[in-house]
Amino acid sequence: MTESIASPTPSSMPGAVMAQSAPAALSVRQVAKTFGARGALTHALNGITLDIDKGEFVAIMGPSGSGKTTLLNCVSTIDRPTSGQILVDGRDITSLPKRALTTFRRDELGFIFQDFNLLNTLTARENIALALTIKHVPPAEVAARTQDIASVLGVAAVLDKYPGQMSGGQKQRVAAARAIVGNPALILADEPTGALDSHSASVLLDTLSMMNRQMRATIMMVTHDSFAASFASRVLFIKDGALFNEVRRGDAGREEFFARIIEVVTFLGGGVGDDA
Amino acid sequence: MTLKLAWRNIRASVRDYAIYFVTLLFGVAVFYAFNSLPGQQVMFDIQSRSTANVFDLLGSMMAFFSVVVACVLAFLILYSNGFLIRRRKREFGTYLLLGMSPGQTSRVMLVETAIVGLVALAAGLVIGFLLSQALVFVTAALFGTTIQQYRFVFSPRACLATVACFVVIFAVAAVFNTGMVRRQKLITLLSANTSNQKVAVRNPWVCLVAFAASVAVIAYAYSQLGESGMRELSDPHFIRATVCMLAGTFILFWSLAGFIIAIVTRSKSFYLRGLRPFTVRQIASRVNTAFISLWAICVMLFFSITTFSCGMGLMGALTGNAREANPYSASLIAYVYSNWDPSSDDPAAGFKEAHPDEFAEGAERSWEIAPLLESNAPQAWTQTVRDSAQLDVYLAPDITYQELVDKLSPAQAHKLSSSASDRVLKANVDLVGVSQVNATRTLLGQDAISLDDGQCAIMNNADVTSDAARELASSHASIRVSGRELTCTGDVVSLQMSDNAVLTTTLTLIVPESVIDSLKVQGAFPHSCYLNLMYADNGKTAAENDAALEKIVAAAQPLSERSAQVDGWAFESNLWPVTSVVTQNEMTEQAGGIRMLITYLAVYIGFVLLIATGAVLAVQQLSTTSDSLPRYRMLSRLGCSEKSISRSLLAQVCVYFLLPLAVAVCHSACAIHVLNESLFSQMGTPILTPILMAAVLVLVIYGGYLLVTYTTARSAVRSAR
Repeated sequence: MTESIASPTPSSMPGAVMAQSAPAALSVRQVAKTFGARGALTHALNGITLDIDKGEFVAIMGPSGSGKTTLLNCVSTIDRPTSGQILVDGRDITSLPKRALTTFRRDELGFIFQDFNLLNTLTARENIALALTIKHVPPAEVAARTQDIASVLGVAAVLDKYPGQMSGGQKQRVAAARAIVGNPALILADEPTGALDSHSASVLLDTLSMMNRQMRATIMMVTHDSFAASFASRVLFIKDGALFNEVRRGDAGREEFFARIIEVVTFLGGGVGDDA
Repeated sequence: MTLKLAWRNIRASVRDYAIYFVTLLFGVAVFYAFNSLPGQQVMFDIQSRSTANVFDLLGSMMAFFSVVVACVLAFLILYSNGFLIRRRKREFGTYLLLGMSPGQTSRVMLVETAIVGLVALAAGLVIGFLLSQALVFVTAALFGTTIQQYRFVFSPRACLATVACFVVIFAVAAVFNTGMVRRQKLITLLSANTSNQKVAVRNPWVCLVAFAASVAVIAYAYSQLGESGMRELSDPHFIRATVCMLAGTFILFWSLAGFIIAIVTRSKSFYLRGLRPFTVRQIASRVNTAFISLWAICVMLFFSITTFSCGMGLMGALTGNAREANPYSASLIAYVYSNWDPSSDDPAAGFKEAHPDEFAEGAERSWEIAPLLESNAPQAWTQTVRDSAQLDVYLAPDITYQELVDKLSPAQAHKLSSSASDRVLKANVDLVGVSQVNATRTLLGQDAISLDDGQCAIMNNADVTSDAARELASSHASIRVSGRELTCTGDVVSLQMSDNAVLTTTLTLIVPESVIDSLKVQGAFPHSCYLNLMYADNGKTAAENDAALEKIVAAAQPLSERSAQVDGWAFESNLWPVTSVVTQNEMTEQAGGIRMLITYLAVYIGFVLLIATGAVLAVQQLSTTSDSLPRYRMLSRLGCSEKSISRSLLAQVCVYFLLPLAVAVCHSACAIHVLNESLFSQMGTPILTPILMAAVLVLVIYGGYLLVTYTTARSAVRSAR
């Protein structure tokens, strides 16, 4: 066990502390989400509270049914929480009207999905560019930024290929490029290594941490793969819809951090990664 | 159990079935309405001896084209069914996985189709019944009559035909469906939605070359069509034009997507804006895979537009001059040269041999018909006929039409020789005496013409020879008739020689009476005699006067056996005094009949082809949309506004609908232009009105399908988010 297990929730830090520094990239306050009718309620989220600072790479782990996906859906504004607040860059997104949500997703969020979700009729270049064109970025700038980000993420060679002609790792790095090219406030990655072989997974995770370190991207990654989580700077564990534990990497090496994560996973009962 | 499942499925996929249902409904309604036409009361009211032929023709044409229409609708139903099955592969896979037999599974599909089909059939028959009642009024309007006694008529024959036809189509569809479900492997059924569609990518340079080639082939087809003039279907020019047009259009659609993509993606400032990359790719991938159906749709649209506008134009050409072509109350015609054997020296040999007494009587009476008829029924004649005038047509012994044509300028001569048959060119020129022409003009209330002894005049009113007639007259051509040199007067005399369906006077010479007299001295007699008459103002209807006239003719000669069946040629076996009778009333009715026939056929075929193409496009577009729903969901997640997604959808639907339409309109414009040059302009028919009518038809039906497709696709995308 590590020292951090003693602090159940980071929200025990009062809001006043937050007000002094710049607002967190993501701030989840007492969010609850219930499904079902009155007789048979399911509490997917039970008043969860967490913060992600700007420039942080946070992994969220938890066993099946712990509420990871519901949390992700609420943050990505695809679903609305039953109660509580979610602040992105200090702005409460739970009260935004539907039209504003679309604009919010377009301008503030970047997505990476388990099954890539690239448009298979478009080339890699067009898939990346789409994130910019829908923001009405001038065409010349779109072309330049697409080319730049592809070079940085090592997918410049496949830019004119269609998703059907690329490997899984290439597809996911193109998806990463699409997620970051618009400079979003927060990148949400949902099991990004789930459909990749181990080598491609390592390359992608290196890419993500590079994006985090060099491009100052704020990343929230949901995973149940401890290896993937060990690339993050902090790992949050969720159980039964509430924050259960937190592990910070600090100055530790990746292997050491991985060992600490495994400890918590084991403590949680091995239920975290068993359905991977 | 099967029934319950089928019913629930229908309710669950109402949207998928909607377009299919509506189209089926239209199909059944139109099918019934047009097939019930021959049985309508108004038909019996209007039907007279003179129009019996047209009504028979209408019946058989409707029957023939109903087979064509049935084939089109069968294709449509099979196509839509195939689409519905493809959409629901996963569902069928689940049935099979749960242990239902393939037979049971296909039975569910069968029952669903049957339920939808039966409802459409029943509702379609009701709408068709109402439509057929509306057509009764249209029919009456086309004949220019009003309906005296209106009542609803239900045609069991048409109903039975409709039901039988659709039962057969459904049976075929059922066999196809069952085969399709049975043939599928479980794994492909279950993974139907997740398997990636292979994106067809074509080399842009190959596409560019193919595109240029297709444009060249189509241009060649257009020029060949112009050469052929669309006069004969067996003309090698026409066959070449048809083949090239089909092939060129095919290559055009094949190459278009790749070619356009190559150009559009190169222009960054156009391409990289909003959802354009997505929209362009979405359209291109469809055109890449669906170019065959786009081609078929384009061809069907071409047929639909051309049939409709040309049919309407043809109707105008055939019936537009009905008033002008029938200036007399009635024309009695004696064809003295009937059964003429060209190899014989004496043109009337056949007549003389078969009816020597009649020939002798004609010659004795100097071929004057009116006195003979009047003497046999003096009272009826004076009661019925106000005035009459006869035209006797003689053959010029020493000049043929070929020689007349040779007097024209080379261009005009070429034009005439290419359109006239050899037989006509070899025939001798027709002559009429000026005094008979003037008597006939007086009958019509026109001024007499004067002709000097050394002069002749060109008589013409047919459009096809009007330029030649004008040229002969204005050049004061010199024509040798019966050994005398005659100079043409500068004016063309326009006179219809007898009542007829069209304007028929073509390059007939009016000569001084002395020329005819000298011919008579040489033993010549007219080859045709036209006695034109005007009915007296006796308060009777035209039809009653027609009947009276028939009695007058019958008093002079026995009716032939065929008189009961065939109109016009009532007295065929008697060449003298009257071979045939044509009345104004009869011709007007016939014109109405032809008007009805062509209008109905053009509307029927045009309408069915249009709804078929509209429905196929709608079904294809909706299936694309539902296949692409994950993409739209994705776009929405990425933060695309609903508005921009709707705009992208609209662009896709529009391009998909308007692309084949644009190509078809090009082809139709070419075909109509050629027909206009070779036919309509010569007949003096304006083609603009039929074109506008076709445009309205396309706009309403095709546009309607476009709109419904767009709104349905939009709501599907909205509800999927």
